[in-house]
Amino acid sequence: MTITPAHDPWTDRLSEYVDGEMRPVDREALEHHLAGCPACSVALAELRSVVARAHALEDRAPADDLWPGIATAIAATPRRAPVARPPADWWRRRLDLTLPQLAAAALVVAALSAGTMWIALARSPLRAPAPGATAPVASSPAAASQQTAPAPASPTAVTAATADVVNPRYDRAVAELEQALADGRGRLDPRTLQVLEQNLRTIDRAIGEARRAVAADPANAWLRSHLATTMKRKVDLLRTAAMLTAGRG
Amino acid sequence: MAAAVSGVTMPSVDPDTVPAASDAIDVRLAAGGDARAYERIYRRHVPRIHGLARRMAGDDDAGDLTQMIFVRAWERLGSFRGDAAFGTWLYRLAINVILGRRAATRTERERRDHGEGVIEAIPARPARSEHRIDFDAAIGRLPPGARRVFVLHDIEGYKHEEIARMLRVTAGTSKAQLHRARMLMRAHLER
Ligand SMILES: [Zn+2]
Repeated sequence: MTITPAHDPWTDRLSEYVDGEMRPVDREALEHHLAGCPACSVALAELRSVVARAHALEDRAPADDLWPGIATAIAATPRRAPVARPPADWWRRRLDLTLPQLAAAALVVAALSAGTMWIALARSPLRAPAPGATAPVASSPAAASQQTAPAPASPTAVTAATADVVNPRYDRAVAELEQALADGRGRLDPRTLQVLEQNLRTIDRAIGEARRAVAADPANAWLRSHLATTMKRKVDLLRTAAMLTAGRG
Repeated sequence: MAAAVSGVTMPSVDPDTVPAASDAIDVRLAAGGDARAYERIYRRHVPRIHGLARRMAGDDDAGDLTQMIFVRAWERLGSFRGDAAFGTWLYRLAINVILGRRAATRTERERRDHGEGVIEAIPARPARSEHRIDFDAAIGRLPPGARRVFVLHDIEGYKHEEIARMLRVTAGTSKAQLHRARMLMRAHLER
């Protein structure tokens, strides 16, 4: 014989309680009820377990690789050319900070031959550019818009900025540093050398991707500043490496 | 001098801090037609998107839906504005595709179940499920309306007001469906 207990209306409100969505007066009443109702107390504990379990669920890739089907479909999908948007002002503002710093770094590096660079690095490390260059985006859109009057980016300005980022002089400077590093690599211990080369490959890949992205969307200020930041990271890395080499020499 | 430096090793570059192969870059490349970049995007996001599709629509449809979502996203990449995280944008698009298809192909069976709007009497104690299935799989057995709210609220973290807009129900219905789903899911807790 089974006795069906009368429906307990408080049971229906337990999720609200779990989620903290009850008015204080109702919450107090429910808590009072809970003290004398084991069924609700048990249900409450179980509901909390369900919520915790749901939060902890993990995603996994599908068993079948779905990419080939997608690749086929998108190959057949004509695409509109992406709409080039004028860069938001705050990005250009950030670029204003980044480009001169990058240019300065490139000039300093370019002015030194590999040999003098070596000595200079061994004695007093080149000052790292101001923190703003390496830190993630600092200025908020609101702050930037207060500081600068909005000026629509002209295509000319965009081209000039791109030209600054893709700077042959910078490339030559990096090439010199790389050459210097190649000459001095015998002075690095194998493990350090391995990590260094791995880091350089990672950054080179990033630079390559950033360059292709800039080429695909030259008007995108974010991409240009991203490229600038990535290139600067390479200079920083090469400098660190150079210091290590010099220190061991 | 050398001694001071000799113990120093190159710090390893944390892939997360190197802005390599990020969504921002790959989205731009893919928007320009680069399918390789889009494949990287796919690989990064497919576990989460497929999980969403599987839990919202069930195992049988999850693969098809996932493909539809990524094809739709490819078509729309040009409209992605870099001011939101790409993952958030993709996720929202995925929900729209899943819900849109459900509206288009809602079956008789689903209508018969009274999947939406109707809250059945809930037993005070859940019946122990006879065939023990895992918690995640059990989500797929929930009545459709309760299942969608459960996935969106308890797994994905949307608020009732947002869910109500997405599902075109009231916030009260969303809350009631959530409670119903949770009560049913108690039977599938690992004990
Ligand atoms: Zn009770």
